[in-house]
Amino acid sequence: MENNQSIFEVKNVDLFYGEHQALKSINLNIEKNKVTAFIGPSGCGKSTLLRCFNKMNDLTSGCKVTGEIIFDGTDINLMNTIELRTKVGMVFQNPNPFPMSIFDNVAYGPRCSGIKNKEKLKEIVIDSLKKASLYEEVKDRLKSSALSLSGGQQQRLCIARAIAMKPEVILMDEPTSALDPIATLKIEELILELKKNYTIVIVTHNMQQATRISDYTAFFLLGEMVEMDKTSELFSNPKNKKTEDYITGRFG
Amino acid sequence: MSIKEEMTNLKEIVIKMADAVVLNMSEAINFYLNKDTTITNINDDLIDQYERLIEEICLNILLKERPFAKDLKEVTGVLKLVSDIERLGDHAEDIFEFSQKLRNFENEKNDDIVELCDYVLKMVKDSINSFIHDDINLANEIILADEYVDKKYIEIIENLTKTNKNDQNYLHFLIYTTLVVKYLERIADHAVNVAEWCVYMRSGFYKDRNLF
Repeated sequence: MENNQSIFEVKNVDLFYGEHQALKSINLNIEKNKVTAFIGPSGCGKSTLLRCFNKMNDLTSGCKVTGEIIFDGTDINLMNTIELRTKVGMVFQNPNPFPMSIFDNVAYGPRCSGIKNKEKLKEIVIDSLKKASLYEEVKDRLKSSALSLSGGQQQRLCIARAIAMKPEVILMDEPTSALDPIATLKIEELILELKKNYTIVIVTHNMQQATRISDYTAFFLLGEMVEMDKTSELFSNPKNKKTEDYITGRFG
Repeated sequence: MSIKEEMTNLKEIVIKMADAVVLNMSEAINFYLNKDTTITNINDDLIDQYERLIEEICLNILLKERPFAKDLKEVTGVLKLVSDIERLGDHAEDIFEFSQKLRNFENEKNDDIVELCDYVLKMVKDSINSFIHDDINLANEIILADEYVDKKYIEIIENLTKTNKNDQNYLHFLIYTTLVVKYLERIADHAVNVAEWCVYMRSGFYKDRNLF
Protein backbone atom coordinates (compact mmCIF):
# COMPACT_ATOMS: atom_id res chain seq x y z
CA MET A 1 0.00 0.00 0.00
CA GLU A 2 1.30 3.46 -0.83
CA ASN A 3 1.68 5.79 2.10
CA ASN A 4 0.17 8.83 0.44
CA GLN A 5 -3.16 7.01 0.06
CA SER A 6 -3.28 5.91 3.67
CA ILE A 7 -5.86 7.58 5.91
CA PHE A 8 -4.72 5.70 9.01
CA GLU A 9 -1.18 4.67 9.85
CA VAL A 10 -0.81 2.37 12.82
CA LYS A 11 2.73 2.30 14.19
CA ASN A 12 3.93 -0.13 16.85
CA VAL A 13 0.65 -0.12 18.73
CA ASP A 14 0.48 -2.15 21.94
CA LEU A 15 -2.68 -2.24 24.02
CA PHE A 16 -3.04 -3.50 27.56
CA TYR A 17 -6.19 -4.23 29.53
CA GLY A 18 -4.55 -4.06 32.96
CA GLU A 19 -1.87 -6.77 32.87
CA HIS A 20 -3.27 -8.46 29.76
CA GLN A 21 -1.72 -7.41 26.47
CA ALA A 22 -4.50 -7.44 23.86
CA LEU A 23 -2.55 -5.94 20.95
CA LYS A 24 1.12 -6.58 20.22
CA SER A 25 3.24 -4.30 18.00
CA ILE A 26 0.59 -3.65 15.40
CA ASN A 27 1.78 -1.92 12.24
CA LEU A 28 -0.57 -1.38 9.35
CA ASN A 29 -2.01 1.24 7.03
CA ILE A 30 -5.65 1.77 6.10
CA GLU A 31 -6.04 2.94 2.54
CA LYS A 32 -8.38 5.77 1.68
CA ASN A 33 -11.70 4.95 -0.05
CA LYS A 34 -11.13 1.26 0.32
CA VAL A 35 -12.82 -1.38 2.43
CA THR A 36 -10.45 -3.10 4.83
CA ALA A 37 -11.64 -6.21 6.67
CA PHE A 38 -10.24 -7.49 9.97
CA ILE A 39 -10.66 -11.21 10.50
CA GLY A 40 -9.54 -13.64 13.17
CA PRO A 41 -10.87 -15.82 15.97
CA SER A 42 -12.69 -14.31 18.97
CA GLY A 43 -10.32 -12.55 21.31
CA CYS A 44 -7.64 -11.98 18.66
CA GLY A 45 -7.75 -8.19 19.07
CA LYS A 46 -9.45 -7.19 15.83
CA SER A 47 -12.34 -5.30 17.49
CA THR A 48 -9.93 -3.81 20.02
CA LEU A 49 -7.84 -2.37 17.19
CA LEU A 50 -10.95 -1.09 15.43
CA ARG A 51 -11.96 0.73 18.62
CA CYS A 52 -8.51 2.33 18.80
CA PHE A 53 -9.22 4.24 15.58
CA ASN A 54 -11.71 6.53 17.29
CA LYS A 55 -10.40 6.14 20.82
CA MET A 56 -13.33 4.06 22.00
CA ASN A 57 -11.00 2.12 24.28
CA ASP A 58 -10.53 5.30 26.34
CA LEU A 59 -13.87 4.44 27.91
CA THR A 60 -12.52 1.14 29.24
CA SER A 61 -10.92 1.40 32.66
CA GLY A 62 -7.39 0.05 32.94
CA CYS A 63 -6.83 0.26 29.20
CA LYS A 64 -3.46 1.60 28.08
CA VAL A 65 -2.43 2.18 24.48
CA THR A 66 1.15 2.85 23.37
CA GLY A 67 2.53 3.54 19.90
CA GLU A 68 1.08 5.89 17.32
CA ILE A 69 -2.10 6.03 15.29
CA ILE A 70 -1.90 8.71 12.64
CA PHE A 71 -5.15 9.93 11.08
CA ASP A 72 -4.75 12.11 7.98
CA GLY A 73 -1.25 13.03 9.08
CA THR A 74 -2.10 13.82 12.72
CA ASP A 75 -1.55 11.67 15.79
CA ILE A 76 -5.05 10.91 17.11
CA ASN A 77 -3.84 11.59 20.64
CA LEU A 78 -3.28 15.21 19.62
CA MET A 79 -6.81 15.50 18.26
CA ASN A 80 -9.92 16.50 20.11
CA THR A 81 -11.88 13.27 20.72
CA ILE A 82 -15.17 14.74 19.53
CA GLU A 83 -13.53 16.01 16.35
CA LEU A 84 -11.95 12.56 15.82
CA ARG A 85 -15.24 10.73 16.33
CA THR A 86 -16.98 13.16 13.97
CA LYS A 87 -14.54 12.18 11.26
CA VAL A 88 -14.38 8.53 12.24
CA GLY A 89 -17.88 7.18 12.75
CA MET A 90 -18.80 3.79 14.09
CA VAL A 91 -21.51 1.18 13.55
CA PHE A 92 -21.86 -1.66 16.04
CA GLN A 93 -22.84 -5.32 15.95
CA ASN A 94 -26.36 -4.78 17.26
CA PRO A 95 -28.31 -1.90 15.75
CA ASN A 96 -28.61 0.74 18.46
CA PRO A 97 -31.02 3.45 17.32
CA PHE A 98 -31.95 6.03 19.95
CA PRO A 99 -35.51 5.71 21.29
CA MET A 100 -36.73 8.61 19.19
CA SER A 101 -38.05 9.17 15.67
CA ILE A 102 -36.22 8.13 12.53
CA PHE A 103 -35.70 11.80 11.67
CA ASP A 104 -34.36 12.70 15.13
CA ASN A 105 -31.95 9.76 15.13
CA VAL A 106 -30.23 11.05 12.01
CA ALA A 107 -30.51 14.69 13.05
CA TYR A 108 -29.06 13.98 16.51
CA GLY A 109 -25.41 14.40 15.58
CA PRO A 110 -25.81 17.52 13.43
CA ARG A 111 -27.99 19.10 16.17
CA CYS A 112 -25.31 18.35 18.79
CA SER A 113 -22.76 19.99 16.57
CA GLY A 114 -24.85 23.16 16.53
CA ILE A 115 -27.00 23.00 13.40
CA LYS A 116 -30.37 24.53 14.29
CA ASN A 117 -31.77 25.45 10.88
CA LYS A 118 -34.74 23.13 10.22
CA GLU A 119 -34.35 23.18 6.46
CA LYS A 120 -30.65 22.41 6.74
CA LEU A 121 -31.33 19.55 9.17
CA LYS A 122 -34.00 18.13 6.88
CA GLU A 123 -31.59 18.27 3.98
CA ILE A 124 -28.90 16.42 5.97
CA VAL A 125 -31.37 13.77 7.19
CA ILE A 126 -32.79 13.06 3.73
CA ASP A 127 -29.35 13.02 2.15
CA SER A 128 -27.99 10.66 4.82
CA LEU A 129 -30.98 8.32 4.58
CA LYS A 130 -30.59 8.23 0.81
CA LYS A 131 -26.89 7.44 1.10
CA ALA A 132 -27.74 4.65 3.55
CA SER A 133 -30.29 3.25 1.04
CA LEU A 134 -33.09 3.66 3.56
CA TYR A 135 -34.92 6.79 2.40
CA GLU A 136 -37.35 5.10 -0.01
CA GLU A 137 -38.49 2.71 2.74
CA VAL A 138 -39.06 5.36 5.43
CA LYS A 139 -39.81 8.62 3.59
CA ASP A 140 -43.49 8.53 4.59
CA ARG A 141 -42.84 7.86 8.27
CA LEU A 142 -39.85 9.94 9.26
CA LYS A 143 -41.62 10.88 12.48
CA SER A 144 -42.24 7.24 13.48
CA SER A 145 -40.14 5.66 16.18
CA ALA A 146 -36.85 4.22 14.95
CA LEU A 147 -37.58 1.19 17.12
CA SER A 148 -40.46 0.26 14.80
CA LEU A 149 -37.98 -0.51 12.00
CA SER A 150 -36.72 -4.02 11.24
CA GLY A 151 -33.23 -5.02 12.39
CA GLY A 152 -31.76 -4.48 8.94
CA GLN A 153 -33.46 -1.09 8.61
CA GLN A 154 -32.26 -0.11 12.09
CA GLN A 155 -28.69 -0.95 11.10
CA ARG A 156 -28.98 1.16 7.94
CA LEU A 157 -30.42 3.93 10.13
CA CYS A 158 -27.30 3.69 12.30
CA ILE A 159 -25.19 3.98 9.16
CA ALA A 160 -27.26 7.02 8.11
CA ARG A 161 -26.70 8.49 11.59
CA ALA A 162 -22.94 8.04 11.14
CA ILE A 163 -23.05 9.51 7.62
CA ALA A 164 -24.94 12.60 8.86
CA MET A 165 -21.75 13.74 10.60
CA LYS A 166 -19.94 13.69 7.25
CA PRO A 167 -17.23 11.35 8.43
CA GLU A 168 -14.21 10.31 6.41
CA VAL A 169 -14.04 6.84 7.89
CA ILE A 170 -16.79 4.46 9.01
CA LEU A 171 -15.77 1.71 11.41
CA MET A 172 -18.05 -1.31 11.43
CA ASP A 173 -17.86 -3.94 14.15
CA GLU A 174 -19.60 -7.06 12.82
CA PRO A 175 -22.44 -4.94 11.40
CA THR A 176 -24.39 -7.83 9.91
CA SER A 177 -23.93 -10.61 12.44
CA ALA A 178 -27.36 -9.94 13.95
CA LEU A 179 -29.10 -9.67 10.57
CA ASP A 180 -30.80 -12.14 8.23
CA PRO A 181 -29.23 -12.91 4.81
CA ILE A 182 -31.37 -10.40 2.87
CA ALA A 183 -30.67 -7.56 5.31
CA THR A 184 -26.99 -8.59 5.26
CA LEU A 185 -26.94 -8.39 1.46
CA LYS A 186 -28.41 -4.86 1.58
CA ILE A 187 -25.74 -3.72 4.04
CA GLU A 188 -23.03 -5.29 1.89
CA GLU A 189 -24.35 -3.52 -1.22
CA LEU A 190 -24.45 -0.33 0.78
CA ILE A 191 -20.83 -0.76 1.90
CA LEU A 192 -19.72 -1.14 -1.73
CA GLU A 193 -21.63 2.03 -2.58
CA LEU A 194 -20.29 3.95 0.43
CA LYS A 195 -16.64 3.24 -0.31
CA LYS A 196 -16.78 5.71 -3.20
CA ASN A 197 -17.00 8.50 -0.61
CA TYR A 198 -15.79 6.94 2.62
CA THR A 199 -13.08 4.68 3.94
CA ILE A 200 -14.52 1.62 5.65
CA VAL A 201 -12.90 -0.67 8.18
CA ILE A 202 -15.00 -3.69 9.04
CA VAL A 203 -14.57 -6.45 11.59
CA THR A 204 -16.25 -9.62 10.45
CA HIS A 205 -16.36 -13.28 11.37
CA ASN A 206 -17.87 -14.05 8.00
CA MET A 207 -14.97 -14.71 5.66
CA GLN A 208 -17.22 -14.93 2.61
CA GLN A 209 -18.39 -11.43 3.51
CA ALA A 210 -14.78 -10.24 3.63
CA THR A 211 -14.17 -11.68 0.15
CA ARG A 212 -17.36 -10.07 -1.19
CA ILE A 213 -16.86 -6.54 0.05
CA SER A 214 -13.30 -5.80 1.10
CA ASP A 215 -10.27 -4.69 -0.88
CA TYR A 216 -7.78 -5.56 1.85
CA THR A 217 -7.94 -8.09 4.65
CA ALA A 218 -5.87 -8.32 7.79
CA PHE A 219 -5.74 -11.54 9.79
CA PHE A 220 -5.23 -11.29 13.55
CA LEU A 221 -4.30 -13.96 16.04
CA LEU A 222 -3.59 -13.65 19.77
CA GLY A 223 -3.20 -9.89 19.58
CA GLU A 224 -0.83 -9.94 16.63
CA MET A 225 -1.45 -9.04 13.03
CA VAL A 226 -0.30 -12.17 11.24
CA GLU A 227 -0.86 -11.08 7.65
CA MET A 228 -2.40 -8.26 5.65
CA ASP A 229 -2.82 -8.36 1.91
CA LYS A 230 -5.22 -7.72 -0.92
CA THR A 231 -8.33 -9.74 -0.06
CA SER A 232 -8.17 -11.83 -3.23
CA GLU A 233 -4.56 -12.74 -2.49
CA LEU A 234 -5.04 -13.46 1.21
CA PHE A 235 -7.92 -15.86 0.57
CA SER A 236 -6.32 -17.59 -2.42
CA ASN A 237 -2.60 -17.63 -1.63
CA PRO A 238 -2.05 -16.79 2.03
CA LYS A 239 1.63 -16.33 2.78
CA ASN A 240 1.50 -17.39 6.42
CA LYS A 241 0.71 -20.92 7.53
CA LYS A 242 -1.41 -19.58 10.43
CA THR A 243 -3.56 -17.58 7.99
CA GLU A 244 -3.96 -20.62 5.76
CA ASP A 245 -4.91 -22.81 8.73
CA TYR A 246 -7.49 -20.28 9.90
CA ILE A 247 -9.18 -19.60 6.57
CA THR A 248 -9.28 -23.29 5.69
CA GLY A 249 -10.91 -24.09 9.02
CA ARG A 250 -7.98 -26.08 10.40
CA PHE A 251 -8.33 -24.20 13.69
CA GLY A 252 -10.21 -21.31 15.26
CA MET B 1 -16.43 -34.86 9.24
CA SER B 2 -14.08 -31.90 9.58
CA ILE B 3 -12.99 -30.19 6.37
CA LYS B 4 -9.55 -31.78 6.81
CA GLU B 5 -11.15 -35.22 6.90
CA GLU B 6 -13.42 -34.38 3.97
CA MET B 7 -10.45 -33.29 1.86
CA THR B 8 -8.53 -36.48 2.76
CA ASN B 9 -11.58 -38.58 1.93
CA LEU B 10 -11.98 -36.78 -1.42
CA LYS B 11 -8.38 -37.41 -2.37
CA GLU B 12 -8.60 -41.09 -1.39
CA ILE B 13 -11.65 -41.61 -3.59
CA VAL B 14 -10.01 -39.85 -6.56
CA ILE B 15 -7.01 -42.17 -6.10
CA LYS B 16 -9.32 -45.22 -6.05
CA MET B 17 -10.95 -44.04 -9.28
CA ALA B 18 -7.55 -43.38 -10.85
CA ASP B 19 -6.38 -46.87 -9.79
CA ALA B 20 -9.38 -48.41 -11.54
CA VAL B 21 -8.60 -46.38 -14.68
CA VAL B 22 -4.91 -47.33 -14.69
CA LEU B 23 -5.86 -51.00 -14.26
CA ASN B 24 -8.30 -50.85 -17.21
CA MET B 25 -5.79 -48.94 -19.29
CA SER B 26 -3.00 -51.45 -18.57
CA GLU B 27 -5.31 -54.35 -19.40
CA ALA B 28 -6.48 -52.73 -22.65
CA ILE B 29 -2.93 -51.98 -23.77
CA ASN B 30 -1.70 -55.45 -22.76
CA PHE B 31 -4.56 -56.92 -24.73
CA TYR B 32 -3.69 -54.81 -27.75
CA LEU B 33 -0.03 -55.79 -27.48
CA ASN B 34 -1.01 -59.49 -27.09
CA LYS B 35 0.71 -59.61 -23.73
CA ASP B 36 -2.49 -60.83 -22.13
CA THR B 37 -5.16 -62.26 -24.41
CA THR B 38 -7.25 -63.77 -21.61
CA ILE B 39 -9.04 -60.51 -20.93
CA THR B 40 -12.63 -60.80 -22.07
CA ASN B 41 -14.12 -57.54 -20.99
CA ILE B 42 -13.26 -54.05 -19.79
CA ASN B 43 -15.98 -52.35 -17.86
CA ASP B 44 -15.86 -48.74 -16.81
CA ASP B 45 -19.17 -48.65 -14.92
CA LEU B 46 -17.28 -48.48 -11.63
CA ILE B 47 -15.28 -45.51 -12.96
CA ASP B 48 -18.47 -43.69 -13.97
CA GLN B 49 -19.90 -44.32 -10.49
CA TYR B 50 -16.73 -42.93 -8.92
CA GLU B 51 -17.07 -39.82 -11.09
CA ARG B 52 -20.63 -39.19 -9.86
CA LEU B 53 -19.57 -39.80 -6.26
CA ILE B 54 -16.60 -37.42 -6.52
CA GLU B 55 -18.74 -34.69 -8.10
CA GLU B 56 -21.24 -35.13 -5.27
CA ILE B 57 -18.53 -34.91 -2.60
CA CYS B 58 -17.03 -31.79 -4.23
CA LEU B 59 -20.40 -30.02 -4.43
CA ASN B 60 -21.12 -30.94 -0.82
CA ILE B 61 -17.80 -29.51 0.32
CA LEU B 62 -18.42 -26.31 -1.68
CA LEU B 63 -21.89 -26.00 -0.18
CA LYS B 64 -21.14 -26.86 3.41
CA GLU B 65 -17.57 -25.74 3.95
CA ARG B 66 -17.23 -22.78 1.56
CA PRO B 67 -13.53 -23.64 1.25
CA PHE B 68 -10.72 -21.15 0.73
CA ALA B 69 -7.11 -21.20 -0.45
CA LYS B 70 -5.65 -24.67 -1.09
CA ASP B 71 -8.96 -26.42 -0.30
CA LEU B 72 -10.85 -24.37 -2.88
CA LYS B 73 -8.13 -25.04 -5.46
CA GLU B 74 -8.23 -28.75 -4.68
CA VAL B 75 -12.03 -29.08 -4.83
CA THR B 76 -12.37 -27.10 -8.07
CA GLY B 77 -9.31 -28.82 -9.56
CA VAL B 78 -10.71 -32.27 -8.74
CA LEU B 79 -14.08 -31.31 -10.28
CA LYS B 80 -12.22 -30.59 -13.51
CA LEU B 81 -9.70 -33.44 -13.58
CA VAL B 82 -12.27 -36.08 -12.68
CA SER B 83 -13.80 -35.64 -16.17
CA ASP B 84 -10.41 -36.29 -17.75
CA ILE B 85 -9.86 -39.38 -15.61
CA GLU B 86 -13.30 -40.61 -16.66
CA ARG B 87 -12.44 -40.07 -20.33
CA LEU B 88 -9.23 -42.04 -19.83
CA GLY B 89 -11.46 -44.89 -18.66
CA ASP B 90 -13.62 -44.55 -21.79
CA HIS B 91 -10.57 -44.69 -24.03
CA ALA B 92 -9.27 -47.82 -22.30
CA GLU B 93 -12.59 -49.41 -23.25
CA ASP B 94 -12.24 -48.07 -26.82
CA ILE B 95 -8.76 -49.51 -27.22
CA PHE B 96 -9.96 -52.89 -25.95
CA GLU B 97 -12.91 -52.82 -28.35
CA PHE B 98 -10.77 -52.11 -31.43
CA SER B 99 -8.03 -54.47 -30.31
CA GLN B 100 -10.58 -57.26 -30.51
CA LYS B 101 -10.95 -56.47 -34.21
CA LEU B 102 -7.19 -56.81 -34.59
CA ARG B 103 -6.97 -60.34 -33.20
CA ASN B 104 -6.30 -61.73 -36.68
CA PHE B 105 -3.31 -59.44 -37.15
CA GLU B 106 -1.28 -60.41 -34.13
CA ASN B 107 1.95 -60.52 -36.10
CA GLU B 108 1.51 -57.09 -37.62
CA LYS B 109 2.64 -55.13 -34.58
CA ASN B 110 4.52 -51.99 -35.35
CA ASP B 111 7.46 -51.14 -33.05
CA ASP B 112 6.58 -47.47 -33.02
CA ILE B 113 3.09 -48.24 -31.75
CA VAL B 114 4.43 -50.61 -29.09
CA GLU B 115 6.72 -47.84 -27.89
CA LEU B 116 3.89 -45.29 -27.99
CA CYS B 117 1.72 -47.60 -25.85
CA ASP B 118 4.38 -47.76 -23.14
CA TYR B 119 5.05 -44.05 -23.35
CA VAL B 120 1.38 -43.09 -23.06
CA LEU B 121 0.68 -45.55 -20.24
CA LYS B 122 3.59 -44.06 -18.33
CA MET B 123 2.18 -40.55 -18.90
CA VAL B 124 -1.15 -41.67 -17.41
CA LYS B 125 0.54 -43.23 -14.37
CA ASP B 126 2.74 -40.16 -13.90
CA SER B 127 -0.25 -37.81 -14.11
CA ILE B 128 -1.94 -39.76 -11.32
CA ASN B 129 1.28 -39.77 -9.31
CA SER B 130 1.62 -36.01 -9.70
CA PHE B 131 -1.86 -35.74 -8.16
CA ILE B 132 -1.12 -38.18 -5.34
CA HIS B 133 2.20 -36.60 -4.39
CA ASP B 134 1.37 -32.95 -5.26
CA ASP B 135 4.35 -33.10 -7.61
CA ILE B 136 4.35 -30.04 -9.88
CA ASN B 137 7.69 -30.98 -11.48
CA LEU B 138 6.35 -34.34 -12.59
CA ALA B 139 3.16 -32.67 -13.86
CA ASN B 140 5.23 -30.24 -15.93
CA GLU B 141 7.24 -33.13 -17.40
CA ILE B 142 3.97 -34.73 -18.57
CA ILE B 143 2.82 -31.49 -20.16
CA LEU B 144 6.09 -31.28 -22.12
CA ALA B 145 5.96 -34.98 -23.07
CA ASP B 146 2.80 -34.42 -25.13
CA GLU B 147 4.80 -32.88 -27.95
CA TYR B 148 6.62 -36.19 -28.48
CA VAL B 149 3.29 -38.08 -28.58
CA ASP B 150 1.83 -35.69 -31.15
CA LYS B 151 4.94 -36.05 -33.32
CA LYS B 152 4.93 -39.83 -33.02
CA TYR B 153 1.20 -39.99 -33.78
CA ILE B 154 1.60 -38.12 -37.08
CA GLU B 155 4.65 -40.22 -37.96
CA ILE B 156 2.84 -43.52 -37.33
CA ILE B 157 -0.26 -42.50 -39.28
CA GLU B 158 1.87 -41.32 -42.21
CA ASN B 159 3.78 -44.60 -42.23
CA LEU B 160 0.53 -46.57 -42.18
CA THR B 161 -0.66 -44.72 -45.30
CA LYS B 162 2.49 -45.74 -47.15
CA THR B 163 1.62 -49.42 -47.26
CA ASN B 164 1.57 -51.15 -50.65
CA LYS B 165 -0.61 -54.04 -49.57
CA ASN B 166 -3.77 -54.09 -51.58
CA ASP B 167 -5.87 -56.47 -49.61
CA GLN B 168 -9.30 -55.98 -48.07
CA ASN B 169 -8.30 -57.58 -44.76
CA TYR B 170 -5.30 -55.36 -44.45
CA LEU B 171 -7.57 -52.35 -44.84
CA HIS B 172 -9.36 -53.49 -41.68
CA PHE B 173 -6.02 -53.67 -39.93
CA LEU B 174 -5.17 -50.13 -41.03
CA ILE B 175 -8.48 -48.65 -39.96
CA TYR B 176 -8.54 -50.28 -36.51
CA THR B 177 -4.86 -49.61 -35.90
CA THR B 178 -5.36 -45.96 -36.84
CA LEU B 179 -8.21 -45.77 -34.33
CA VAL B 180 -6.08 -47.31 -31.58
CA VAL B 181 -3.25 -44.86 -32.30
CA LYS B 182 -5.73 -41.97 -32.31
CA TYR B 183 -7.02 -43.08 -28.90
CA LEU B 184 -3.46 -43.32 -27.59
CA GLU B 185 -2.94 -39.73 -28.70
CA ARG B 186 -6.18 -38.68 -26.97
CA ILE B 187 -5.17 -40.54 -23.81
CA ALA B 188 -1.94 -38.53 -23.72
CA ASP B 189 -4.01 -35.34 -24.07
CA HIS B 190 -6.17 -36.31 -21.08
CA ALA B 191 -3.06 -37.18 -19.05
CA VAL B 192 -1.79 -33.68 -19.87
CA ASN B 193 -5.12 -32.20 -18.75
CA VAL B 194 -4.86 -34.06 -15.45
CA ALA B 195 -1.31 -32.76 -15.04
CA GLU B 196 -2.42 -29.19 -15.82
CA TRP B 197 -5.12 -29.38 -13.13
CA CYS B 198 -2.54 -30.75 -10.70
CA VAL B 199 -0.39 -27.67 -11.38
CA TYR B 200 -3.46 -25.48 -10.77
CA MET B 201 -4.25 -27.22 -7.49
CA ARG B 202 -0.79 -26.48 -6.12
CA SER B 203 -0.12 -23.06 -7.68
CA GLY B 204 -3.42 -21.48 -8.75
CA PHE B 205 -2.06 -21.33 -12.32
CA TYR B 206 -3.83 -23.10 -15.16
CA LYS B 207 -1.97 -22.94 -18.47
CA ASP B 208 0.06 -19.94 -17.26
CA ARG B 209 -3.04 -18.04 -16.18
CA ASN B 210 -3.64 -17.35 -12.51
CA LEU B 211 -7.19 -18.57 -11.97
CA PHE B 212 -7.22 -18.31 -8.19
